[in-house]
Amino acid sequence: MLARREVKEQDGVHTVSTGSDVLLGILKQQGVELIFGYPGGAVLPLYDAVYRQAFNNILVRHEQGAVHAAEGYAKATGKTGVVFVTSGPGATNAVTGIADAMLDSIPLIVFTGQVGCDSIGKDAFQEVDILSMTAPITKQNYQIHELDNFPKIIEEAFKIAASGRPGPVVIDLPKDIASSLPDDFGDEKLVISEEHSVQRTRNVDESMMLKISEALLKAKKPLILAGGGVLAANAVSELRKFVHRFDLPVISTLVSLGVMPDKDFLFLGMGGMHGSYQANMAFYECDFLLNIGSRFDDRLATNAAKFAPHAHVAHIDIDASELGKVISTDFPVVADAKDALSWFLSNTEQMPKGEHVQWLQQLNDWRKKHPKHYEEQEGKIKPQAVIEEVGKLTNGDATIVTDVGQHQMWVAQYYPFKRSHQIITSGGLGTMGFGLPAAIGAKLAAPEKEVVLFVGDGGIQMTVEELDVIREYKLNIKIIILNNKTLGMVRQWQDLFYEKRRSQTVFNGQPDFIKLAQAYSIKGLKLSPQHWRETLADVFAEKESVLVEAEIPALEQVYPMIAPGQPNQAMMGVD
Amino acid sequence: MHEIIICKMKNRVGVLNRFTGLLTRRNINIESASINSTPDNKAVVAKFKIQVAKAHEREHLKRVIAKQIDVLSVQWDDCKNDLEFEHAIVK
Repeated sequence: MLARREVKEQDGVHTVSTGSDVLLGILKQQGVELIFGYPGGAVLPLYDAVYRQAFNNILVRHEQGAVHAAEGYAKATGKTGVVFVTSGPGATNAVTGIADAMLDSIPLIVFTGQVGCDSIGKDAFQEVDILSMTAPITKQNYQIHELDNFPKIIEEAFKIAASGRPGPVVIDLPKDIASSLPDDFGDEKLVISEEHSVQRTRNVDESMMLKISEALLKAKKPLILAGGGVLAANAVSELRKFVHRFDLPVISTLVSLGVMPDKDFLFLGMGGMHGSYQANMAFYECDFLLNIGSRFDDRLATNAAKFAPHAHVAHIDIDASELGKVISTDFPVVADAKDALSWFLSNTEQMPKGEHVQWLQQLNDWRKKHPKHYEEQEGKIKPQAVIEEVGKLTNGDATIVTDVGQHQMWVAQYYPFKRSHQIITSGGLGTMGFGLPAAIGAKLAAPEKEVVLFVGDGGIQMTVEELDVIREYKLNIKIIILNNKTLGMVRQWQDLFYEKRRSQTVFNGQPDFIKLAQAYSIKGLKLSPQHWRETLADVFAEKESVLVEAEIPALEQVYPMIAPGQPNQAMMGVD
Repeated sequence: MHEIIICKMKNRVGVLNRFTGLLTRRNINIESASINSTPDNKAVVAKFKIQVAKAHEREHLKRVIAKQIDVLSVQWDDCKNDLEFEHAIVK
């Protein structure tokens, strides 16, 4: 006779029969509405529960796609994304996505199937040590060996994934645990030591914050760097109020685009390797830099030793290990961005505006003298123009998903972002193949939003199988392939730094992307150089997915560019 | 400069792997180590002797170790008490 236990839910009573049912019950309690996954032998019990409970599983076509889709979902909503994959290759296929989530601080729970407890360590079929593999790329990981602590671990995992600096958590679930027939998990409440089990957050260090306020407002050339931490903390509103109170210019990172509206006169654009002229010059010239929630990565601070050489640096980050990691910090504060910005708003009301009118004038002069620009070419479709046109067609309000490479940088430069959680891109790991599944996750997260995927001809081929998910779920995603028939960014580096030796970066043939789309029952259109704007307008009038191929000049470069190791002011491609 | 890290961690599978991975990633060799569980068996106290060349790398490593979920407390010591430390291992 099966042992059974009833678990009361908010909207009724659900009968639990296996560990997998308990898992799904906890997911529901955590507010999980859908998961991204792919079944396999070790997760048969789990998917049996999914079937019986009609749990909303988005069936991807590859496990890497599952994790990227969950990332897209999490980035679009701020919620924790959930993934189910099987053991062995299912788990290893998920590793790239897990690493991507770790570097971009995305909250995920990835359940990996595992062989039964008795088979672990015996080289069983589809057995890998996923705990060891994922230790460096997760915030935490677990293997469930006892039913008793199963619910507690899952609840703890959700807390860890979303608290402090968010990140991925892996839970390895042996098949026998998933299929076990629990009698009782006990009624003890979840008890997690806040001090020990989640990343510690502290109260804002008021004395340091006061010092920052005074120094910032005394500065002649103040500058704010607003990173992904501002988005993660949902502190965009506070940031905008604060910088407008004191007319403080703001630079974003790649992943925080949208933290300020593109048109805002205080917004200097993205900084770093392909950032705007005025942003990079501002880094060089500023005398006080306040970094809120950015980790000074090497694509932003391209030469750490020469970064912001004239500035006192204040750095506010929820992760203490980021303070001083790359750039020496005069004013370090461990704090959530929302807490810190709220403190500024509450405690600077009486403070006078700083005297930095000349600085603002200088920034504006730079902006006017060296605007972003590209050359039109007769009979050619320029990628920057396509992105600008999409910006107009979507009123700058679409959720923009990118893959990785040149198109990603052009999107960062030319799409007029204006809201938070608007760009979904692989910033830290730079994962080609991220875009298509991430767009699926973003669309499922907010079906009412227009979702546009910009992708290169290289990246689309890395996870192209996920087109079938778009077909199956009838998602309306506009997919724009900017096709230069090369691995453009690598080719650009080869041209600039390897004397044009284009080793393995030029494709000697490609699939017919339009036919490929049609094979998945998705409408495909190729833009013509003569009528591409009209065609794009038609595409955005469609209520279903369209794959658009724009053949762009193969040798188009992304400029400005800072050569690796050069300081921010040493920009190439600036008139 | 030699350092001794005394790290109290949760007593659970994989905790040491995660900890030593932080050192491996930074190409830091563990020159000696001792690990014991606390009397209540809920935690382990691990002592590692390592060498970190640069001061700012040491500071960063301290913070990275401290933020690990399973790390309950961490102390750093220079090697002035090195002899006593090794002696304790013999005991």
